[in-house]
Amino acid sequence: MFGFFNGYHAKLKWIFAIITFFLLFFDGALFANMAGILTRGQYHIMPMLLVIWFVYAVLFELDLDLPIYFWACLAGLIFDIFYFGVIGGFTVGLPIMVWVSKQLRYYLSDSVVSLFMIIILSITVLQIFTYIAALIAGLDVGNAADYVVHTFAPSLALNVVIAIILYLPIRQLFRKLKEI
Amino acid sequence: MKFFSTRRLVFVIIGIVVTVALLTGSVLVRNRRATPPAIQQFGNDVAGVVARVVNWPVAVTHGGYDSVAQLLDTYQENTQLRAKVDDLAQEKVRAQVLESENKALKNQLNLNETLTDYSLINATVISRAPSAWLSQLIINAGRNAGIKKDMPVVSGKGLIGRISEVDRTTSKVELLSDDSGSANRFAIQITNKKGEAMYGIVSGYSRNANRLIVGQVTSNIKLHKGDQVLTSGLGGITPKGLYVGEVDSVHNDASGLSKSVYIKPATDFGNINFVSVAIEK
Repeated sequence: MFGFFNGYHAKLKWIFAIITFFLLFFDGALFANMAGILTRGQYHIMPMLLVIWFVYAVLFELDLDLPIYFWACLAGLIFDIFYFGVIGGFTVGLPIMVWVSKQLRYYLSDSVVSLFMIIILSITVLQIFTYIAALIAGLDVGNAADYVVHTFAPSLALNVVIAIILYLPIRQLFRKLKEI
Repeated sequence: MKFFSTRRLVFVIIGIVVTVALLTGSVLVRNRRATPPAIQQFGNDVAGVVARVVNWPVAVTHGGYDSVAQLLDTYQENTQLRAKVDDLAQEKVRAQVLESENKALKNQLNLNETLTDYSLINATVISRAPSAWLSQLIINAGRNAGIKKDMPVVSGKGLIGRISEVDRTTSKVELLSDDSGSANRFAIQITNKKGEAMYGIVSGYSRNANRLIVGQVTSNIKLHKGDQVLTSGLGGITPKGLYVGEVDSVHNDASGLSKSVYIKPATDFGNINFVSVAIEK
């Protein structure tokens, strides 16, 4: 179909798409089932596995083999429709985040720290964008300081930890898929 | 290379316009229409099936962890619950007698339906929007089950919110704790120990204190901490008698002309696995 799934690295293309959509729903399932832990009081600690997945995809240069902007836009659209019913935040936010991490990729050095800096910056860009999008849509977002303390900072911490844990498995997976 | 070449500038401006149009457009549709556009519904229904599949292993794992955690305080809980069960059996019989008596009396008065008649549709939470605002629940029942937009949703002990979007097989629940304006606005009544009732509308939610706020109260009825708050059934789709919570405190507004009542919600908005949608008969 339109060269999305065939040609070079056909397996990579298939598996990337499947895992993307799995993680899209996994985030919500995780948030629903662990809500007692992740949303305590004012805190909203959001698992963002989908976002981590896209950042890693850019950092491991998958965009050379598959249409990553298309997948980011489609995943964002489904994310918005399924979870919020308000389209815009992720539909536009995810491709922008992919673009930002692509720009930052040139600063990637051998040190792992640079990799995590890129992850932190990418997540930050996405969070700022969705915050502005929610403001434009007229949703009640509370004040920015509260948001940073109760949502943004703890979410970032959680996701960086998840990213660190997933670094080796994802690198292994991408390497293996690229060989075929 | 200049960052904003003319070409790129045009792209950025078009991007901004499209984004703002998408956002405001979809919010308008969401607020005005009873159901989202057909294509969005179709997408939601397909996504709902996948979400159910993905949710299953996560829910099983969560359930397993929960049961182990609960096992530890089972003994103590069991002794307490046994005492409660005896009480409840009596209450239940009494309620049945009263219900049949109520029915008979209603019949004599030719009253067929009153505000307290409602039935519940049970549903499972299959997902939850990972977001600080619009932290909606996605449940596995939709238009096919008879759910309509704005119906009240209860879980555990009491009211948790209302339906914000209905698709064929799934719907979204906006929580009272969202404070997005439309999530609140429930008509409630508070009855004090003397039996005097005060009516009002839930007008907000304090995130810091986890309290629902009933604003603009001008009634002089004395309320005390612990007075029970129920939906009043006035003004449409919400039936009477859904438990909301209990009064925590009463504050005078800055103007001194009215009061705000702070209500401690009955349910913990954090951990919700099953919900029931209340449908007026």
